[in-house]
Amino acid sequence: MSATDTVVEGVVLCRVGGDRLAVLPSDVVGVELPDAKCPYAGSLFDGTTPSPADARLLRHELSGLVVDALEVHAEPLSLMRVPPALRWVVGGALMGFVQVGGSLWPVVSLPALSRHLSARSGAVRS
Amino acid sequence: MKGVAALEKKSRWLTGLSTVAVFAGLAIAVVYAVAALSFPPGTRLVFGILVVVISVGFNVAGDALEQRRLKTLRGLGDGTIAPRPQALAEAAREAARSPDVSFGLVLGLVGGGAVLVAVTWPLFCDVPRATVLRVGFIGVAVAPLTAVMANLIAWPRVRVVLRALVEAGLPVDAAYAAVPARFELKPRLVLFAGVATLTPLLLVADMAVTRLSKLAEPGGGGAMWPVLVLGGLVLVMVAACASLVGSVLGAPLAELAKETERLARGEYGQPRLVPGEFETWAAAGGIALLEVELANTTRRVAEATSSIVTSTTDLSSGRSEHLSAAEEQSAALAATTATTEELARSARQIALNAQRVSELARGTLDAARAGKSSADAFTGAMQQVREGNQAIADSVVRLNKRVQQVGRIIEFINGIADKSDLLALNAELEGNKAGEVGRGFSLVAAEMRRLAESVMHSTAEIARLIEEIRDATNAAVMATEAGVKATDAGAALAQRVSEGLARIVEFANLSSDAMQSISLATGQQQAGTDQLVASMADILNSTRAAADASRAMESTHAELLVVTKELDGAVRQEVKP
Repeated sequence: MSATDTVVEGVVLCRVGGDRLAVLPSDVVGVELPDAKCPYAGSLFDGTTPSPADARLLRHELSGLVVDALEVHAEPLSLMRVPPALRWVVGGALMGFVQVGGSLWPVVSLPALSRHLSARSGAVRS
Repeated sequence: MKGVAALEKKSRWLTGLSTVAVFAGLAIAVVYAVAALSFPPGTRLVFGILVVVISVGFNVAGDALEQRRLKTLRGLGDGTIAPRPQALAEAAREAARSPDVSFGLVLGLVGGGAVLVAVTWPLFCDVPRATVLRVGFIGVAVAPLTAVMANLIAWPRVRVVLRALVEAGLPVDAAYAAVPARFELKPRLVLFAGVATLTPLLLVADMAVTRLSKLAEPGGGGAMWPVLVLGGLVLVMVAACASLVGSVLGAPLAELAKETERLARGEYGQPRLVPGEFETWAAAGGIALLEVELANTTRRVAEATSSIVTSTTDLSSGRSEHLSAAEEQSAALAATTATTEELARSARQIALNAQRVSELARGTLDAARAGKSSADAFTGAMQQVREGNQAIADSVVRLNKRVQQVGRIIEFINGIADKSDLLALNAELEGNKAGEVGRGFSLVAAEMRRLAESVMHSTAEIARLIEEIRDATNAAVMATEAGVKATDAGAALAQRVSEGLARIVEFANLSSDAMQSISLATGQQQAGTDQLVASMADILNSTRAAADASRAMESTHAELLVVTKELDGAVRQEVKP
């Protein structure tokens, strides 16, 4: 752990297809069944694969993000900072990386990513 | 025609010599009258005229009468009558009667002429009664000799005419038949001898009396030449008659002797005419008939011999053919016997086979009945299988419904588990948000969540199993339905099999009855065939015996043919003229 890293009290590990995301538990209001109005996190990667039937919606206020599966990792983790060159990737939603089980998980801001995907899907629809 | 031409003027020629005889007799009478009679003065001329007139007139009349009796011969000669056999035979009869006709005419005319001269002479001159009577006596005395001479000199010409008629086409046997034989030679010879003896005696006696009476008269005696001439004429006539009698007998006998010699040499065929008179004519006719009969007999013998040769040849040929046919028949019968024996063996085999087939037919009937019973049982079993399949199908349908119900329950449980998972996840999340205080809560929630996920995994597994059960039950339903259909088809097939077996039972029953009848019939046929074999063996033995007899007969016929040909050659040698 470097001096610049921040410790987070647990993360919500999300799987989208073969990819993975992590959000902060504080961003999640609740876990619900998928809502058609909320974007699917798979569109962040290839954008073609639909969400499975047992997908879950991570609710944040009025928005949210649909993922394939999720689990709560309650242990404290070191949040590795995002390099400045990548700070504005995915609408500035990327917050850093955590290492869980030997894998590196990107930690994103749920509201920011939801807005970004909603905006992109709206731009695509428009 | 040469023969017909030979008949020309034969009728006139036939009677021509009778005139010669008449005038010869007349000459004798005249000479005798001149020598013996004393003609009163002035009566000689009248006498001579009367003699000439009456004799010429009577001769002409007699000749006319003779020609009337020969009208057929005259017609054939001048061609007014066709030379048919009847006419020729009638001409032969006329010619054969001609000498007797001449005899009668000459006898009557000469005697009658003398009487007529004697009657008419006194009418013209004074003639003594004794002279007149002696004129009549002369005629009566000379007439028989003249008639005999006319008769005898006619016979040779009759022979010539008969030969001419035969040359003209009259068959020899018809000539003999046309002229009946008369057995009058003896009385004729007696007559001829009497006439030839009495006439000179009468004349000589009368002459002697006359000469004696003249010698008693003064200056009597007279010349001797009339006596000598008369004697000479009488001798000539008697000699001529004797010669003619000899020719009447000798010439035909000489020809008959030649004919008999010819026949003795075997040179017979067509009979030849041997003209003759009385017994010689009968003998000639008999010899001709004998030759005809002999020729006919020989011809019939030749024909019979030829027929025998032909028949023997044919018989020999026929025997050869018969022998060949008998041998062929024997061979055919042998083959037929062999075939019949084979037939008998076949009949026995057929009878045995028919008996076996009859037993098989009974076995088939029993098997068909058993098969029908089995088919009926199979039909019942198929019905039970159908009912079992139907029950299985119903059970599977019910199972499917239950599985669907289980599925819905599992879905319900899965929904609950899913909601539990969400609740556990939210609880774990809230516990995590609560920090250290909510850690225990998070652990419980995490455990709850794992339970929920286990339930969801289990329900998913159950759902998969239910899906498999559903597929299996669907397949079971389809298989059961197919089984029901197959069972229905099998039942229908079993029903048809049962019906078919029922017909088979019926047909097998009929076949069994028929085969029993066939077995009985083939048994009878076997008996009949055995009898046929025995009969064919007897026939074969008889045919072989007949063939042996035919071979023996063929040898005999060959010998008979040789003998018959020798006989035929001998007969042909005899028949050959």
